Amino acid sequence: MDSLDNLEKLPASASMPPGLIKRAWKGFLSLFIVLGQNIYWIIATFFHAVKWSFREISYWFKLFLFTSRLFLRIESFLALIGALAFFGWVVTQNHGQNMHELLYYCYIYFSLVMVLLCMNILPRERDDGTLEILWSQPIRRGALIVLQLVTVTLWQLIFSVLVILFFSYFSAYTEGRWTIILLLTTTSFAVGSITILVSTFCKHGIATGLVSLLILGVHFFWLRSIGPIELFANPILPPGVISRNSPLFSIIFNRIFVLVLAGFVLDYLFRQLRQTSKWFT
Amino acid sequence: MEVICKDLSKIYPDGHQALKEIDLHIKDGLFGLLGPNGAGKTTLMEILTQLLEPTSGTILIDGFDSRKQASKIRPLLGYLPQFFGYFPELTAREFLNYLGGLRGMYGRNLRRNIDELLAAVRLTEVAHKRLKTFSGGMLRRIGIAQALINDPKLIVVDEPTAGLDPEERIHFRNLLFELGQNRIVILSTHIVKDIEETCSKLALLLDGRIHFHGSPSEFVRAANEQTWEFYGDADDVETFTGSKNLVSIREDIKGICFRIISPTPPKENAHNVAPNLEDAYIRFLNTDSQAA
Repeated sequence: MDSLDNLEKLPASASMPPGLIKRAWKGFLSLFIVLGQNIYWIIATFFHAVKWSFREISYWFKLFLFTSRLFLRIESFLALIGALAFFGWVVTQNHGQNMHELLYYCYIYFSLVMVLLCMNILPRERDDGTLEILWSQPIRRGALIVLQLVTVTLWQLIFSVLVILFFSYFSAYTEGRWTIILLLTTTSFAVGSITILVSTFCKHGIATGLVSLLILGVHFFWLRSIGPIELFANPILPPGVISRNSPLFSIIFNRIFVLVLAGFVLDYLFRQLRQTSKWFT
Repeated sequence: MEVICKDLSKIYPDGHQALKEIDLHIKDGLFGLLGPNGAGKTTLMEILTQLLEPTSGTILIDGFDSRKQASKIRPLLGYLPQFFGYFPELTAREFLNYLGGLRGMYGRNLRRNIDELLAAVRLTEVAHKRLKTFSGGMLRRIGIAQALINDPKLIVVDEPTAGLDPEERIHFRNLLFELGQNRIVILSTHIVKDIEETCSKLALLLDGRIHFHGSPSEFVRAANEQTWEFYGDADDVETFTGSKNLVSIREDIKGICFRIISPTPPKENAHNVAPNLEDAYIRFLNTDSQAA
């Protein structure tokens, strides 16, 4: 009986498409009419959204520029001179002849730079007395720290692009250069957040730098992988090695864990920042 | 606009109790918080400006609870700390621009505010110069300008005239008085003159407790009949120098004049004089700190 019922319903279902199209067309027309009637509000909302986006972007860009200026201290010049010396050495020793090797050298250099730039973010603000001024502003303390961390990471990103472009221009190996930049940027962000967290315990810039380097050094040389977390992962294959498996999945998987680690570190850092007596005694 | 502190206490992690059950009610105008170094003034200022959290008690600023509605209070605040930190590489205009940005200001409004503030603190001429080239007085002025950048309803200034030369100090006091006309300005200091010249209300903080809260005239009344002056000789200099009750000692054509706070005449030739704020301050310091 069921099959017979279905057979009876067939003609009706066959006549559905024209009705459906008609209804869809009517719906489309009525939607068009409603849109037409509210065109003023739609355009106004669109322009409002554009204006708001422009204002927000320019506001954060301004803060980015100011924060960048505050970092233009001895550490930045040291980082620049260090880059020339370090990558000069890499070039003269023929170490950066493939992207696999280059990534390791970049990890070493950019991690050192991130530690150098981030180790003083909190200790210096506290010693200079600017912490009181900054923390009495309506902006959240965590947002201020993240703004500084993101600023340093963005400069690291710009710098790493220059380094990778330089090496890919002068060497035969260009494969995976954008992957390297992604890996370097995420690792730098995580290294920076770890360093700032360490500074809440050490309270002194140099001590922070040394402790951070110790932690990262142990991770880099001995404990490259802690569970699925590997700050210094290198999925770029050395020349001559062929793999049928795409590294994309492992890269994404690895980076998600690195960012989750950075998230935990920042969360703990924000808790530290809320312990007010620790900062103003 | 009003600031209400109820049973406010602060104990630091090392066990030091900086504030003990503070009760204050502050309304519009210039409010002076007087007290010696270490009395707890800076702790109270930092709690008011949300930098520190009280161990117990509540603060209501414009009706907002400082613990639960901190994000609503911060935009109402302007703060000039005792040790004003600045970014030496920035110019005066850049510094104000940066802090204005952190307070969510931008564009034409911010630029106009900066111009007006630089003119108000007489720094327009040096707006393009780096802060590291500024004198102490200029830095204090840029400090007050940053506290005013978003036209706050409550301004907290901690020891603002410390280290300023007399001219700068007078200018700064006048500026604070002007600011206190349409908002609350809380001025914390151990310099009695600053409060005498400007404040309509004051509180005396000693050893973490409020020992007086009222008008300067009421404060002065506490030293009535207890302020004495007399002319003495070199022996008296030895006797009274170092005494906590000695307010001043000066030499004029009649000899060496001593001003002493005491419930009884310190010498036979001593005569009662009208007290001023400084006399009352010394009187409170001696009697109340001994009692504490």
